[in-house]
Amino acid sequence: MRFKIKNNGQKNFLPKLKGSLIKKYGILIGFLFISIVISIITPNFLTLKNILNIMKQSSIIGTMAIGTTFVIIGGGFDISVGSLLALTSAMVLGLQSYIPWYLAVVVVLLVGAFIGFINGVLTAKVKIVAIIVTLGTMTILRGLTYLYTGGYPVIGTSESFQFIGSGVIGGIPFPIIIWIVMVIFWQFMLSKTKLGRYTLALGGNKEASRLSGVPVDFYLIMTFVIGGLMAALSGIIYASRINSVSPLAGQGYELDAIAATVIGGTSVAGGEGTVVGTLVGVLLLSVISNVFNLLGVQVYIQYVIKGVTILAVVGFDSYSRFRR
Amino acid sequence: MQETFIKVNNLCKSFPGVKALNNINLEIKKGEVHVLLGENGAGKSTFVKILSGVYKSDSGSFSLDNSECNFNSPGEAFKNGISVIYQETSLIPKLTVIQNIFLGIEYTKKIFSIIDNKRLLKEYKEICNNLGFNLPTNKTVKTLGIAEQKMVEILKSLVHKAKFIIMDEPTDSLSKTEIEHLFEIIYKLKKENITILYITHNLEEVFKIADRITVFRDGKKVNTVSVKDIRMEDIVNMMIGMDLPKTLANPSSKQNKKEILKVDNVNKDGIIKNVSFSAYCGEILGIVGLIGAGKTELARIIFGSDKFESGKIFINNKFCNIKSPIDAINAGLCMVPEDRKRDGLILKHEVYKNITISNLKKISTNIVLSKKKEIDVSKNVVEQLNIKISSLDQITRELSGGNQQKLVIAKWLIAEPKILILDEPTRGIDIGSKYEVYKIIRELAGNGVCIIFISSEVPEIMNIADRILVMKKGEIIDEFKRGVSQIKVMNTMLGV
Ligand SMILES: Nc1ncnc2c1ncn2[C@@H]1O[C@H](COP(=O)(O)OP(=O)(O)OP(=O)(O)O)[C@@H](O)[C@H]1O
Ligand SMILES: [Mg+2]
Repeated sequence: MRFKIKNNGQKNFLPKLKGSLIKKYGILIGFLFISIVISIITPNFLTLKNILNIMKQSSIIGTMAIGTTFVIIGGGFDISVGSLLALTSAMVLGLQSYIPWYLAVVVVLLVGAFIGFINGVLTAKVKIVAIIVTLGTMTILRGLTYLYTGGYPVIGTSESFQFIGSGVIGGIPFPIIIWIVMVIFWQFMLSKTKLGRYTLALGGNKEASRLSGVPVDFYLIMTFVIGGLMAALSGIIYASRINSVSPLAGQGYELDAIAATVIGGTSVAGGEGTVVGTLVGVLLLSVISNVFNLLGVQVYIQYVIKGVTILAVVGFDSYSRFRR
Repeated sequence: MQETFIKVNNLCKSFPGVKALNNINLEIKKGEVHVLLGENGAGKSTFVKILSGVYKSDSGSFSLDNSECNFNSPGEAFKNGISVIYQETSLIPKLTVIQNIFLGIEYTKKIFSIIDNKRLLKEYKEICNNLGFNLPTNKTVKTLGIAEQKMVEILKSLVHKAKFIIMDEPTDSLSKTEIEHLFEIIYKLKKENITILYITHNLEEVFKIADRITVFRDGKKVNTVSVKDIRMEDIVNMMIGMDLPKTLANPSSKQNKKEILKVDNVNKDGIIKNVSFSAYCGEILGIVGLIGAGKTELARIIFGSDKFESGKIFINNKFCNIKSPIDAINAGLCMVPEDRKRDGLILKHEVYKNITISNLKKISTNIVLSKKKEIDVSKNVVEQLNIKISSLDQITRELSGGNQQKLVIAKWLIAEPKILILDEPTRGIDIGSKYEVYKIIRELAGNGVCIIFISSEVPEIMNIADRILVMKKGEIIDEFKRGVSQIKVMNTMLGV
């Protein structure tokens, strides 16, 4: 028996659309808008060839940034992935002299996951701040890359391996297919499985998650493992595309991945974000640099403009969230 | 004291899906204690946030001392003499008392802007003497008790020349004696002709401090009346639109005496001492004690969220090695924590995510989470607990305090616990909903769930519990059956 009958007015359980729509798809709308403007001022932009080219170039950072997205959503931070790309790409080529390329790929993926695991354990169990942990492993990994390569570029020996980075299926470059499949898979994991829900919870409020029965340490480590795995995969694409890896490879890639993630709507504070958003973030950055290349703008200026873009997009987003 | 100090005209404020304030007209007189009452989600906090510059109103206006106010930020309101004391403190934990109080107006010497500590201290002493406060100036705020922190906040307002102090559920986390102390402070502030707007869900407080009260319901003002002219029942009626039932549902008579939880000699370095007790299926076991008696700590230990030194916990007569909340939940033991914002909720997530997190199994097919099941399950508990939301997708931060508290309870209802520990579960909940919560707890117990109900409010424990354990300084010092007199429990608690 309920003794109180309350008129809750217009209580409905359907998602409210207004407002949240702009918040959710704001970046996408912005991206489309920029693309349209660009395609008007630069006629070469909107050709299939150019678009596939942009996507192909984006696929390496794009694949890496999927992992970054998970790490940041879980409340962590990973700046070691650029160095991890260097080590794994050097290894995947170097190992080809001893084992078949597909085994090398498997080994390298395991290495990536293992490094992620180490990052995760140091963060979750030893309780070092994630940015410092990965600052440490970043340095170590770069050192290991130098040791592994002896300071010289490593060159691949397998013909078939090069398909990963340079192959084409049905007119679409294979790296793009890998990237898109990964985006779909991990977006599914994020929004439709326990792994994703717990990762979001963990980044949203670690203590409340722990008290709700979430194995917080395990899932924190998992985000870093995903980060390492995706970095290794991007290393494989990278190696396969150029078939020659210098020990300097991947420098600064981690920053691009972080920038794309944040532009794509993932909150640096953790607990919020999408993989698809990150995809848009990566594309946005690539489109901008592509246009400047088409327009023949000096590279140095491009850096400045890229930085300004990051601040503008993220700043607009934060500011509009804060204001009500 | 009869001149009007604050005048509110036709104030309106809407959020997506709710009209939080609907045409509010209100006058607050200079030097009065004006109490604002209303159900959870009635719009009280929203009203406060508009007066203090956190939100902007959609339409309408308000004036302070006959001058129109149009604040763009809380800082601006603060500078104009309006200060707010929230449930949670807004102090900086690592700074000392005096640093906190004078934050923003550090007097400096001419050279190098060195802070003039002597002058601060002198001014501080003056104000303290006026009010009869006595606080250690050089302790950091985080080492103080909550009541002392409230005092620091009040001092801070006064130093900043506050003329109007708003308190939004200030007694929420205070003990009885601390509340008395706060009331004394309020009397003193009144003497200094400072105007106070006070929000509470505890109607007994109203009669102690209020001059006049205003009741809100669903964003509208019901009435403003003088306390002298009104009885408690009338207030309740104004708040919820009808009378409350006189008594609660009777305790379930068929108590099967199956022991489900046994806590054996648990110790934790001086905080918990030799605690042993049993709890039974279908029983509501109350644990009562002053703030700091170790109730929360005991709950956290049993739930596995804190470590302990020695002792054993048995569930269903089997030793249960609970090392983390996960172990506890797997054994069917769940806990509604005391601090909803820190330990209970993920404020930036949607309502439904906060509900289902405790039991994802229930809403998944194979390993895939099913949105449909999730919505069904959440909708069910939201209706059961009468939680006021505009949609299940609403962000939890936007809910009113009391509705957030209900959400934490909802979350554990769907985990289907066999033993449910509730640590101050009715904190911040309006009286109508309190009865709803009691009723649900009764129902759970009726279905054989063992309830451990922790509270520092004796009347509440007397009302709900079948058996009462009294804690003091980390020990269980006595046990009572239902029907014991309130005085007896109180005296035991206080140790007289
Ligand atoms: N930022 C916000 N966004 C959306 N809705 C909000 C926001 N803040 C408050 N609301 C809604 O406005 C209504 C009034 O909330 P308010 O916090 O003022 O209630 P209250 O009277 O203080 O309740 P309680 O006693 O539970 O603290 C509620 O329905 C709440 O969900
Ligand atoms: Mg409130």
